[in-house]
Amino acid sequence: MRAKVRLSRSSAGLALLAPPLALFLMFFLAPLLSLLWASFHTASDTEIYGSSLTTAHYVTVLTDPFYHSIILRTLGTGAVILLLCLVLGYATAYVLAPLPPRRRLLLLALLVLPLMVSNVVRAYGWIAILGRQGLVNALLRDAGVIERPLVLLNSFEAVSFGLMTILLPYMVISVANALAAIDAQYKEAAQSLRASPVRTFIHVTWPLSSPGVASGMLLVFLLTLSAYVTITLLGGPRMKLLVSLVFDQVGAFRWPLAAALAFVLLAVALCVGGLILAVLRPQRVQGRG
Amino acid sequence: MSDPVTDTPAPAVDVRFNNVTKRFGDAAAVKALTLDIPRGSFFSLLGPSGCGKTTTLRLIAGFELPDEGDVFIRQTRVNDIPPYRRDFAMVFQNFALFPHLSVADNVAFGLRMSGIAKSERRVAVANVLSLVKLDGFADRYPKQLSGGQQQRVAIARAIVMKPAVLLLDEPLGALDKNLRESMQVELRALQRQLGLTMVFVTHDQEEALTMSDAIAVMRDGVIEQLGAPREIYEKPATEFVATFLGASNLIEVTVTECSAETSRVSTASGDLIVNGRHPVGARLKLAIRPERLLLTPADAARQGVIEAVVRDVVYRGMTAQVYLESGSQPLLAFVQNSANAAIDWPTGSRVGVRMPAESLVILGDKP
Repeated sequence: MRAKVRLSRSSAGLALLAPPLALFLMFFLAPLLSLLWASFHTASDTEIYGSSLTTAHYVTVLTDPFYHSIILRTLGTGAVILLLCLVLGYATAYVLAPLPPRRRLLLLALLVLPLMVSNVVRAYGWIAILGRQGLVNALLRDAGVIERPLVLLNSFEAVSFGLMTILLPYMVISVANALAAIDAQYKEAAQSLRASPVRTFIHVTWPLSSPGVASGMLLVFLLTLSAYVTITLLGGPRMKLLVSLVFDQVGAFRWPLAAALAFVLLAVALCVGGLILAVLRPQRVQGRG
Repeated sequence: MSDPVTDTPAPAVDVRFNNVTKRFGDAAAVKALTLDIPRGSFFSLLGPSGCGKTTTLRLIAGFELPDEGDVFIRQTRVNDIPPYRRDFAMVFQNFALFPHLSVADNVAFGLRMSGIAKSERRVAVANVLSLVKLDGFADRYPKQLSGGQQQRVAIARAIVMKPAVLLLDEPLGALDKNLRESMQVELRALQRQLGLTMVFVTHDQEEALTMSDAIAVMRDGVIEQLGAPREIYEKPATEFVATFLGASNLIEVTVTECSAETSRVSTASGDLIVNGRHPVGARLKLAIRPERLLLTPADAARQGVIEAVVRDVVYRGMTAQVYLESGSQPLLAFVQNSANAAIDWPTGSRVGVRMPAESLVILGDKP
């Protein structure tokens, strides 16, 4: 009898899963595989990819110093943004989490408000602030600090800072929700066991918030990798990241090379994502004690 | 109820409240509480929710701070000492085991925070796990354990600290009935074996009666009565205590005669004798436990026997609950289902209810 119930339950589950699974297979996995297939072919002037197999694109991307520097720059930008978002986001979330739910949600909503403004608009906002004739340069010049305008745009700093401001809310929301979900008894238990507030944070609060930190960091990093608009507008031609190269190669109709770059990008995403999960080990707090 | 706190009491005191008041907003959760908890005792704080028992416990821990008065743990006034520097350990209501740490790491946590060396920690953890019968569970995680096992880990994590006082906040509430009863016995045995001072918060009167050396019955932030379980049960001081701990029949009477050691009092349906001299004409409130009512076939009114009508009999196996009415006074009697006692009184029949003077308790007003 029990087996019967289980069977019908699992088949019900399968029925529920079927539509999204089908969509996933048709519109994600199949195109991805065909893209992978394309990345191992020579370029062609008339087709999307040529007829002969080759690993040349991967060899180029992985050995050419130009691509190396772009991969490293991508990782560096990601690391800086992750670090800034982690420190600023965690601190903000730590302040928001203990507030009464109503006020916390209100403040989180306020934090999300900028996300409603298009990234394009916000990037132009940064240009208005950081440009040659921008706010910062104008103020510094009027104050007599500088004579010639500083070059602030099209730099590592501009891209990192701009992306950080866009992505910070994702981190705050993830961490604040994780912190708010931690039962106050855990902190009291730690204190009853001689842990000072600082050690309570290190040994209890931080590990218990790790699912939120991990999801926040994954969101921030993955969004960093694909934030083409912001990278292009604030980085210009001098500060390109991997995603810009994919776009450039597609623009030049070098589909197989673009595909190979896309897979390198995917590999970067998987590696860094795996690293984040391996360091934070959020799975150890899943399920209740 | 309380000794003058300036005295040095004969048995060592592990926790002392000196005129402690704690307010939340305008409401006082604990009012002018003065209390000594002697070393090595199993001390229960009993009362309905909102009576201040949990606040009292949290004042010892330092999770709440008193608005007035002083809290002492052993010789130390702890008002200004943060929880992590106070000499106590605690078993929480939902155990609060750290989900990211193994059983061994949970138990070792307090030792680690106290700076005990790793090798020493390992020995202490192994010992305490075997004490709570959890050998072989060291590497498991809390979520892999049953409720009873989690409970044991929570107890092990607390007692491994060898605290001056162990606080327990309704620790058995999350367990099912059978498990709860066996944990009561084990916890009590552990307390005796280790000579621990335990402060136990519960709203379960049966639990408090079975486990405690002393019970403080609390209501509205004050202790209504403090005493040994038997004293509390058999000599309740107030109506609240009489009805909160078990069932009681409450009878209002007027004193009609008084002699050297006893007084005669009248009820609506007969006279009773109570112990003690009371002024004639005084109105008293009496309490008597249902199991102390003795039912006899109705006959001529004798001293200490009043007449009643059987309204209902509820068979409960070991006992029968007999619902009676004497005049307008409802009475409840528990009759042992023994070979020589009648329990099958027909509804509507008249019976005599004997209330021995030694079973009648005269209730005072709220202290």
